[in-house]
Amino acid sequence: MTSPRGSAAAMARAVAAGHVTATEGVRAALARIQQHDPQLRAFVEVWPERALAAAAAIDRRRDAGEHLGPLAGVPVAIKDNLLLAGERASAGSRMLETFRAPYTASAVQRLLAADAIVIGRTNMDEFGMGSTTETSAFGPTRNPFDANLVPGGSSGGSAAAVAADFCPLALGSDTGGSVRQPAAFCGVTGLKPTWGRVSRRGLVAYASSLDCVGAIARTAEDLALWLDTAAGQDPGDATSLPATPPVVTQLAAANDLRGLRIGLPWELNGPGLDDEVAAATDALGAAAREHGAELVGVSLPTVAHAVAAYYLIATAEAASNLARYDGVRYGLRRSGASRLEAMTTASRSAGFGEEVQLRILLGTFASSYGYEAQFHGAAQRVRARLAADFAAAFAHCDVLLSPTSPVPPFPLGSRRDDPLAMWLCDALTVPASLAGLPALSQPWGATADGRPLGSTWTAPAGREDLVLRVAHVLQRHSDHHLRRPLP
Amino acid sequence: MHPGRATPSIAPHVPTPPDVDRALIERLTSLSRLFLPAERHEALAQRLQRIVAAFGSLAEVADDAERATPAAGGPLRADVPGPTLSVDEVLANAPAAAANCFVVPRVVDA
Repeated sequence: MTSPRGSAAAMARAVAAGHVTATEGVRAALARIQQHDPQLRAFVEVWPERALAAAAAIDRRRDAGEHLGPLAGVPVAIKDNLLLAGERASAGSRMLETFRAPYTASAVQRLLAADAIVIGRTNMDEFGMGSTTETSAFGPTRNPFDANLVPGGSSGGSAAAVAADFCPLALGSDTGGSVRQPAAFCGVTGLKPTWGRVSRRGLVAYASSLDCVGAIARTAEDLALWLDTAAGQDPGDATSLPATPPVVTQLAAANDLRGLRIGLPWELNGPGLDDEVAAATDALGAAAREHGAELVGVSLPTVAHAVAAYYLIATAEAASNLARYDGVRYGLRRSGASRLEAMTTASRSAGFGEEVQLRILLGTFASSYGYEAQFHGAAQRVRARLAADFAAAFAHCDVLLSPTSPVPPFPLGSRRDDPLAMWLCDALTVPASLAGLPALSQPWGATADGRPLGSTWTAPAGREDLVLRVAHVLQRHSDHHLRRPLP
Repeated sequence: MHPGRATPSIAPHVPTPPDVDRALIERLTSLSRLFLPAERHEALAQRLQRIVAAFGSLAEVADDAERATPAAGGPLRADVPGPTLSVDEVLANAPAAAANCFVVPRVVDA
């Protein structure tokens, strides 16, 4: 029972019942990280002393007969862009390499309030800008299924940590697919909630109209457990939404999918897909039908323009959000300049990597005088039309099904030289981001050479319960999510 | 072009994507407070040109649609001061600080 390979739900129950101590669970997780992470590099930093102290405190409370939270004793990793007071948070960037968080992110605070144990921070693409972790200033994470493959990104460290059984749950963030795509590449389950469902206070900002805190776990049930603790309004984030009814209790009674209508948007399920990817999603749809769901064809006509709209909006917001890194208040400073502006320019040029600089320049271009209407303004109109497309599709179905990525996990270094080609790989995840919808990627199938594949369920805003239910039912009757890359 | 594929129609009012030339790169780097060594200008210009060309026709797609507006969050909290970081906490990550202030290079001439 001390193995970190159990689900978060099972571990919390075992700790609460006294079958295992939180300390034993954390020690097992740390030992596994020590054994495998030097090769994978899922973590930027592990906090053994903090984790063991927190575990000991939970064990004392249990021994004293106190009530424990729903994630009692569960080791959890957090992405390097979420703040934990007193610890470093670098967002994968040299710019924030020595930054120490002055307060704790609300999403992390809610984990702690549920008695989870935060064990370390995971690697990510710099400021979330990437799909492979290769833009991290601290080097890439490797895919636990094959060390020559990327783990996906930007939450690649969190996905790899769960896939490697370092912990059953990890927080990520998702701006255009950064939870769903690495979950698919690493054979685990990832949830991007509705925009606003989970507070972003203490999340390092990338593109504020798109950023969401999400989570990665092996099972949909664990993600429901997390969402129930994480969701809700926060005075520290004016965009956060009121809490919805708990989901995890609804899952217990979910045995089949009778009455559920699944929409297959042909634009996301046909052209440009790798054959094995398409076959895996077809198989998932067939499995859902076997359990009582009805499949219907739907259309999202504007989706072909989603990548362009996403990158113009995200980079314009990034150019604004990252203007705060001026070498004055926090972050890297290049000293030696005699004037403020020269110091700021030197600091930003040294602190930001090439991908971040490219995106800042594109966002500055797209929102600057003379080009705004043709680029950023047009993207906002496309965004509105795309949201209308989704609303029309949901008139005919409850959830949508599509592959998570048009391609399977690919080798490290194979796509780095062509940013546009890399961005086009986000074609299937950015539509839900632009519309602010909840989406869940679940592992289903593999390529002939064993690379994991994932497919995504998307629901109307506020209906995380639907994507969690459909994934949970299918996981009750299958073992794709239990495929493990490491002994 | 595939022989069976129709040529995409371009609405006449859609402006041609701009040339990403040296002057535009210099304007963007200046606005962004980024320094780009001269040897990187051409490679960056080529990358941006490809991106701008690929994204430039977006205006024709939804020219009759309204812009997306930010989604509303929940009800706002009361407009009263809440707890804030202390001065020491704020300055703890500052690259240079003195006398409870951030230290910066000269901003204006004496």
